[in-house]
Amino acid sequence: MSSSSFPVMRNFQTTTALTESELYSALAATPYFKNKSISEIKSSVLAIRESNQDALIHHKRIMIKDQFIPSLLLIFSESAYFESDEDWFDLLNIYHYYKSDLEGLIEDAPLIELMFYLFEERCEGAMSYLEGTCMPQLVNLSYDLGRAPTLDELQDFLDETLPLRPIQEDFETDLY
Amino acid sequence: MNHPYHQNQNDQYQSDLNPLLKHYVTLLSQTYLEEYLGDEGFTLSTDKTKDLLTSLKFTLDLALRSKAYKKAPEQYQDARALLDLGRLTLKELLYKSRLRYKALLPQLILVDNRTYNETVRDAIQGFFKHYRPNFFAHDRIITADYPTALPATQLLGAEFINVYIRHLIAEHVFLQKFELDALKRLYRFVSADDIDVIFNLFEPAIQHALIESMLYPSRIPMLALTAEDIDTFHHRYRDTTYEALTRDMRTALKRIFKALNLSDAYVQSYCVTYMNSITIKLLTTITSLGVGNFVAIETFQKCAKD
Repeated sequence: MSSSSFPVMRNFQTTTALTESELYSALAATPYFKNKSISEIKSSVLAIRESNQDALIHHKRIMIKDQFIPSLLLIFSESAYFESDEDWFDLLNIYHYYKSDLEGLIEDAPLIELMFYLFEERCEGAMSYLEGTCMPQLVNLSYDLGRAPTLDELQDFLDETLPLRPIQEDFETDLY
Repeated sequence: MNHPYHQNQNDQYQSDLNPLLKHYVTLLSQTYLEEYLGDEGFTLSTDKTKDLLTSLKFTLDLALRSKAYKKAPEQYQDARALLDLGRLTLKELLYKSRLRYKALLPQLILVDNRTYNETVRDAIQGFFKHYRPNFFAHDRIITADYPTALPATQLLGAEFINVYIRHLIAEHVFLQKFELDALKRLYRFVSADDIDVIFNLFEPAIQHALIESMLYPSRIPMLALTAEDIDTFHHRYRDTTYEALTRDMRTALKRIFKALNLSDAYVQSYCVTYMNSITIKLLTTITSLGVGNFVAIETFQKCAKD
């Protein structure tokens, strides 16, 4: 799969300009929120923001700019694998854990996009595979390069190191 | 004479932010953190945030102590203007420090002491390479294991490197007045392992020169004391008072400046401050017959045993 066929590298500047109501409208058009009313989206976003606060405290991080949650929501709500607001809580914990682990090698905006690629294309929605296998590989590659990898570099690296799909791990997770 | 080292310390603790400025600084902190993150960063670790805010506080503090602020404080009531002034002050400090370091390099002493060579020849260059004044202005970058006779380690960032290099220059101008062989001989007595042990090169030299000048007022100091000289010194000063010793040391130091042609005001001020800091130590060493840690006397006590 080439990087051009994957819908990443969006313009994050647009999220700064969004008002709350524009955000809810934008989210309403995404697969995760499409069958929800605006008030349901509102309460979901509120719950996600609260989960984010807990995750930030747990991982000793501080949110400096408000774009973080809108950016994360607008990208990950495109996922076909998200089923409940619980998934957001898991995602936020994984995100903040690895953001700290990367020690500033990857900024938030590209990290959200690379993480979405991993979740969708490499993990096929398996959160445990994302957390235990794919994200550590992203960290390894970033430390090897001393910077954020491009999507092409990440794809090549994973083709070499993780040629197998996470079917086996999904099976094991289901089994136990 | 009041050496800038002390001046600096006093100023640093006196210049606190006034309440109005604190309000602006709170607003500025968010801008500063956002500026660090750039377009693509949204979150920071608490440790990094703490570091950045320390850097901001240090930069503003530096601005408040700058000549430009003291001259026209009304121009810097806005915290952003104050931050810009702080960054400008940092740039100037770095520029001056680089120039001074260039001037210091040819004066370095050719000894094999590891800490001296690693710090003064290598680590300082590392500081200039890795220092990030915009967001980590307070970072000292290097441990500067080689100690100067007057410490600079209570200072931060570019201010630390500036003072550390100035101290090194003062010490090296003094050391350059002596023969290399005389210095090497001295360092061998300071420690049997003069390669790996950490010690300052200036201290034994100025201490020896002082004793030499106190014993032989008409002689140009050349670090040529003997163990007998130290015995004589003990006998002459064992019943001395603090006032009498201070007076004799001051006179001796003036003679040293003249004999060695040390006319630079900064070097003189450095030596006087150092001498004032060791007077009690010397008095304790003499009056308690060797119980103390005055390097020069300890050195010759070892020398006598050898």
